[in-house]
Amino acid sequence: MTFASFGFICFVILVVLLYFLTPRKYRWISLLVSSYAFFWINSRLLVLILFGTTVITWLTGLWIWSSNKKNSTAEKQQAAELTREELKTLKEKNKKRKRRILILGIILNLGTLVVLKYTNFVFSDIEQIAGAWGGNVSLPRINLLLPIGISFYTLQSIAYLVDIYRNKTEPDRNPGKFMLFMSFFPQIVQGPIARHHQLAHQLYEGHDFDYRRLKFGIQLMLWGWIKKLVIADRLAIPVNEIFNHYGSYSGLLVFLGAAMYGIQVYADFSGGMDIARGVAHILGIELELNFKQPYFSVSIEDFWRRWHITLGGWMRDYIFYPLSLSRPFASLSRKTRKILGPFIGKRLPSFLAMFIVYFLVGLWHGPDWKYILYGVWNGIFIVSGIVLEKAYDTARKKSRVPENSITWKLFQMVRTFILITFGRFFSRALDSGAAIAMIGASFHHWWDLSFLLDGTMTTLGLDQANWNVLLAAILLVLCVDYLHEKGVRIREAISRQWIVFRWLIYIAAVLFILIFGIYGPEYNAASFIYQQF
Amino acid sequence: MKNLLKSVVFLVLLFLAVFAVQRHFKVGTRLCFQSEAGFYEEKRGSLDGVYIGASNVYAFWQPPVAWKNHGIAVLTYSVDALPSSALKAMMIEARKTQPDALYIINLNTFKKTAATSEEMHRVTNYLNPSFNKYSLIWQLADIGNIPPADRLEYYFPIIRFHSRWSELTRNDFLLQTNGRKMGYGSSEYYKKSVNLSKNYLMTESLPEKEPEATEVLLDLLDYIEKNSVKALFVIVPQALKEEYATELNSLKKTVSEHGYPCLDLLNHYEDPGILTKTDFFDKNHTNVHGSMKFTEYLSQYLIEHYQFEDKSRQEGWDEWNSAAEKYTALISPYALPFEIEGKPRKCTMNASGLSVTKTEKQSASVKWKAAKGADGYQIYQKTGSEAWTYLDSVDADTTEYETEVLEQAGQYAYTVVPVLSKKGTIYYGSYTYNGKSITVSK
Repeated sequence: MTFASFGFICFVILVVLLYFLTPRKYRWISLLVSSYAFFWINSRLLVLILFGTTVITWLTGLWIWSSNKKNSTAEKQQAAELTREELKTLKEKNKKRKRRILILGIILNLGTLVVLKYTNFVFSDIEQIAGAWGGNVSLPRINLLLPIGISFYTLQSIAYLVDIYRNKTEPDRNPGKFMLFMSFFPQIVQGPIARHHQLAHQLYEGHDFDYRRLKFGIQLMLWGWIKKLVIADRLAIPVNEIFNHYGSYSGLLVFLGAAMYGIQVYADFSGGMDIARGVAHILGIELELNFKQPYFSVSIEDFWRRWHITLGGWMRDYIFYPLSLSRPFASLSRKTRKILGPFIGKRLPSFLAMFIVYFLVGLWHGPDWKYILYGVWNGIFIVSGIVLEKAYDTARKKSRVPENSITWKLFQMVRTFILITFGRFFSRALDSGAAIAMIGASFHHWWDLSFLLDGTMTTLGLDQANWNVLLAAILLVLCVDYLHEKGVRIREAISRQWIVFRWLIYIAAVLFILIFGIYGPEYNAASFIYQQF
Repeated sequence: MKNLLKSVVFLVLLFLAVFAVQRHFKVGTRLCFQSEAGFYEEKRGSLDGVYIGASNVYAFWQPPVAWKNHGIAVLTYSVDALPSSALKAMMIEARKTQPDALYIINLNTFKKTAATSEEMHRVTNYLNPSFNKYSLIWQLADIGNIPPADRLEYYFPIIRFHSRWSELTRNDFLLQTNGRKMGYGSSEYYKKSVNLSKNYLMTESLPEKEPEATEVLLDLLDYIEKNSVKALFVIVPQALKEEYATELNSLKKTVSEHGYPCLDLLNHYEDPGILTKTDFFDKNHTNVHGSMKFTEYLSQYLIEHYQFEDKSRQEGWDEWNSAAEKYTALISPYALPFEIEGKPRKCTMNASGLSVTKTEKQSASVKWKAAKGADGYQIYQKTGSEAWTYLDSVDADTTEYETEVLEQAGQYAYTVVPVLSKKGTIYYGSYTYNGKSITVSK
């Protein structure tokens, strides 16, 4: 049951009715039932894996918290009896014990994800390496389906445990409520990755029906469906053609294919987010924004602050900071400063941490070297962006381009877009070899724009009329994103207009999706020509 | 309360907008549209009869020709590949506005009971929204084992047809019927003849076990009986396999046992003068020549058995008169005047061996073999794509004819029809349908 299916619309209607008809005190239970029902519909018995992860995380969280509490109490009690050194040793010992519990919880959670998602990838690589060395190794493969959202809720559970460890949040004592936090259906499929202190209380406190929230939620969902059904699913057609038959294409058309993929994945992912946020909004729950007009970014670093924001935030809080602020990295920083000078030397540990982060970002996207290269590509350009920042600034000043000028901003945005697009080859191509081949092919006669006018574009699976609709829809999204960038709240602006005008917009939006969306059973004109019996 | 009211009003407007837009996207075929949308144009209680069935019906029966020759208004209400399970719903729909008409049911329709997805759309897309329509959708979906979630496209056809947006034409927006009262036309219908005589099977045998379609037929008969519907069943000639031909016999027997007449032209195709060698454009459908014979035959049958009166001179039938004119003009280049007018036929007479050659003086020399039983021949000429016109008559001994000099450049076609005069009535025989042509250049 995808977000773009009629079944999902019926499901949401039932969930909303059930939620608001349930007495306020028990509304969280109706959400829990709905979330597990959603999971069951999509993944059947794999719901047991979610349940297992939830139980492990809940128990581990309580264990860490009780250990914390016990240790603090013991430390306070013994503070008067112990020397400073002895107290310090005790605290270290308690911290280590707490850390061991945390690590156990992380291993159990992450282990499930790693086994289900990465085993075959690792075994395949081992076989290839062994083969390269003349060996003949054959390892078994796991043929298990992945439960929906496992990559998301695993990170969510790890964040929960670490936040308890850091005393940032208290553990949930109610197992049922914690099950809801781990399974809330609008965000389980593709995020956003939620933090317990931000989301939990919203889920547990019952919200009253609010007509304005209902309207705004539906409008947000409509916008999500426009992006998914009109843009993303339409763009998939030429993108699939170019990437699946990459040997047949070269030049700027190949680059355009990657650019289209970038827009496709933005429309698809952010569209899904809008639908998820819209559903949550109707229920009185605010999910975190996951996209903030990413194609208005002025650098790759800026891009990752606007793209999949919650993943970036998770990586920052649970990988980057722990690494870069750790003792080994601090020690490395001191050593490299002596060798490489203050600028690079000081930053090298954080560059290394950033590299690790983007390596993991790539790996998180999928069990394939192309995804890892995708992450590494972004890591390289973030680091080089920081290193070259001064050089860019010098060049700008020498060219007398004001820093806040549209020209400079446009240059930065185009530069970022180009770099991001080249990275897309890795995430979309059939494999890393194909990605590299496509990057090379895109430079072949790159100046030749004749494919735009000679009918080539209509051989990619879309006719001229469909291209026109696509361009119009992309332009619409661009305009909306521009208004958001300027701080305009469009739904509120529309809600202040004359009722007839508002209703015309809403009806037009529904008709736009119904007519131009890519959905439903395929219509084949030939099958409707009467085959006489 | 105010918000609830606003929401309800908005939803109603939204549904109306969706229904208004989706009617331009629907596809059945143009014929389904003509039949279903055209049926709703008829005045309440005006029709003498309604002929229900699949494509056989509109290929065999031409309402504007029956109107032109006899002033009877018997409209077809037919859909391509109509499954028999939909017959009752079609009858219910038709009886909403024509409760007292004679209902002619094509028994050949019982060849199939289930519908494919495309066939379901053809049947239901152009029915007006009603409980009957939505029940029919549910019923056909049940028969076809379509999961409930996949049935939405039949209630909201835009789900299936929305991708047509780039190929919508003026016709899709205007949604006008062609004003021919389901007078059929197609290139095959006008020009094609297939020889079915080798495959044509006539049998009075019954099948070993009762056909599955009997249950559907009994349900329909039950409805007819309970509602006192005037009904006539017809079996049209088709080249059928023995299995199905025997099943039709069984169904015919069931109809008779319930006291309803069944006109079996499968086993008596010669009664209307239909020739299996030349009067079909495929194994299931007559061409224009076969259709003219069938239409005339059934018209006579209906007038004799149901006392339909000639309304052609009454006021208020302008649309039918106009349809007759339009349809006559449409088929005149392909059928001779006596065919369209339903004149008496003796189809065993045939002037075969027709040849037409151009003479040196630019006239046409027409030759043919003598037809047994003929006491004369009529010669017809067609210029280009215009209507056939009568040229001349010659006596029985003549088997060649030379025209006058053909002044204009172009294509000229000729055909010869044997005739027999008997007790003051002229009987027309068979002829070479498309004639033979010559081209004159200047």
